[in-house]
Amino acid sequence: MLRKLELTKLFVSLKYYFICFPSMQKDLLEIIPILEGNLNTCREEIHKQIIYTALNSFDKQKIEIREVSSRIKELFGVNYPEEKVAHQLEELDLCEIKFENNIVTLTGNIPQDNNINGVIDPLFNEFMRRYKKHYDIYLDNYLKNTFIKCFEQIVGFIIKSQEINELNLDTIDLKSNDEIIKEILVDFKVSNPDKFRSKLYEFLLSDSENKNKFILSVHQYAISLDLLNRSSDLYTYSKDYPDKGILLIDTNIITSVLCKYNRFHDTVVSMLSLSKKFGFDIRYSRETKNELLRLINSADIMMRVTKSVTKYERKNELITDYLRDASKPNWTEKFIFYNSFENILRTKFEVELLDDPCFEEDKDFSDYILQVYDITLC
Amino acid sequence: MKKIKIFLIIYCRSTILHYAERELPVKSAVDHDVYLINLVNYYKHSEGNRQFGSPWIISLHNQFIFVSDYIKTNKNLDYGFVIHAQKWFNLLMEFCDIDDIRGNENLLTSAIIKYSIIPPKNSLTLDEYCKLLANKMGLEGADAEYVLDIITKSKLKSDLEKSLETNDAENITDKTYEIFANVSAMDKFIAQRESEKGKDRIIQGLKDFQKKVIAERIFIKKCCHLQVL
Repeated sequence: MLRKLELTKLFVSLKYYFICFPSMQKDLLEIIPILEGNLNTCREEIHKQIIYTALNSFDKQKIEIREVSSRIKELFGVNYPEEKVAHQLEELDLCEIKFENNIVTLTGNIPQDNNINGVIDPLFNEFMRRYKKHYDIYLDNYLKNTFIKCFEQIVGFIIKSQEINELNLDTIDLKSNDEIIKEILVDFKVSNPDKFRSKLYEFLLSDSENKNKFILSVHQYAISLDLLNRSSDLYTYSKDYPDKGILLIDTNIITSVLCKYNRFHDTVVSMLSLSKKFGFDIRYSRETKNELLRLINSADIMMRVTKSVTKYERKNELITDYLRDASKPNWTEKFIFYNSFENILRTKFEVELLDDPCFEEDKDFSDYILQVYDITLC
Repeated sequence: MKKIKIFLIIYCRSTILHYAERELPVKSAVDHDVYLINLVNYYKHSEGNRQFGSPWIISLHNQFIFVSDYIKTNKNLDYGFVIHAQKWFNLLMEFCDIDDIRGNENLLTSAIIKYSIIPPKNSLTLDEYCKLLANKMGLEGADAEYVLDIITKSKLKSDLEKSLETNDAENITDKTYEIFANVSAMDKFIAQRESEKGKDRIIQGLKDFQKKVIAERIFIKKCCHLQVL
């Protein structure tokens, strides 16, 4: 079980790692896992850690709050206004910190342990337990350091992915992430880098409880940092807002549900189950149903009628998913499965067909949308 | 007469391909998107904005999201229509307590990792490609081992694998045709397997595919010859 302190240790240590690489300085990390308690309490802890790290970075005893504010900007790349710093300092209950007249007086170092081992050790031990037959710990002297470095990068990747604008979601350069991991393995002279990489990814997708907690904690931290970046108030949001609207899912959402090997399958399934937990009414329209049926039929024609292999089969995700399916069904079985999408959506996700309301289409608005499409399709 | 027949064969094939190969006609896809935006617009007017800016259309299609944002900006609206599934997931995660996560840790972690760390696989492996070929031969996915066996025994196997890795469609077809048009190798393989009981359908499928491949190669050669002339 990861304890809060252990994760704090890791991220404090990561701070020093990123200082060594100034280009990544904006990704300086401090984190408290938010998985072990109430959301707001955990986010308050993150704020505290940000203040502690900033204060510890000074080598003088008396510090003005505007200095703290600009140091936070320098270290974390986020705007943290002076009044917010003052509010946080008033809330702190540490004998090492005194706050009066906008001046912070440090009477000692705020205790922050810089030992990374507390967090990484259980992960590394588990990794080695799973894959030790592939490695000779004596030959690969730096195996643990390699593992640590890879996980540090993974933290960076998750934070960067959170910063991406929604229009650029498809442009996250996962290949370059992969190249960075490859470079680390070469630098550390791992005896079989390809195997290490594939085992590392296998471990990341495994059911390891420690790993899951670690990744979810990092993700929650990335969200908090992103919210700070966008100057959003972390405390006032609530998921318990009573008025939940309809969510209409597009055809590609349904195909992602049906296609287990689709890149977005896990995201879409998680998104649907979280939306349901939050109380949203998830529906698909009759038009979407018809579009999906056309897509399924077009895949069927490709598989049954056309006798040559074309580039289109590899582009059709229903076919690609069939080809990747480890349970090796034949196409007819898969075709029947795809056609049962209504039943799957209803039973697994409580998603129903929408009774499309009778409404008068705004002709001008539709024409306007078509014009926008004309421009973007050119 | 023969020319007309060839023309008809090519025409029919290309017509079928025209409908089969395209995932969806562009117009109907656009009409679908326009309808959904109209539908959400109707809900926004009749019910107003609800939690997290809902009602929303959730999609993975970047162009759809771009169009929605464009309309929002240019029409000066205080609401959008479409949100990316990943963004919606991230938004909900911002509000998750431990209770919302419990029991779904594996799925949520896997979603985060696949989205931000591990690159997706865009090309087919040889096994997957053999499964596709088997289907094209009128066989079933499970019969792909026969196809794989033929390819594995060929000298062109590594070339085909490279073409698959790089998604080089033209080379994939060329190498496949070259492998299956190799009469002596195919005859040897079929002779070895012909004695196996209950495999007549598979052997027939392989033979038919070989015939088709050879006929198409001859046809292409003739076309090239005519073009040169």
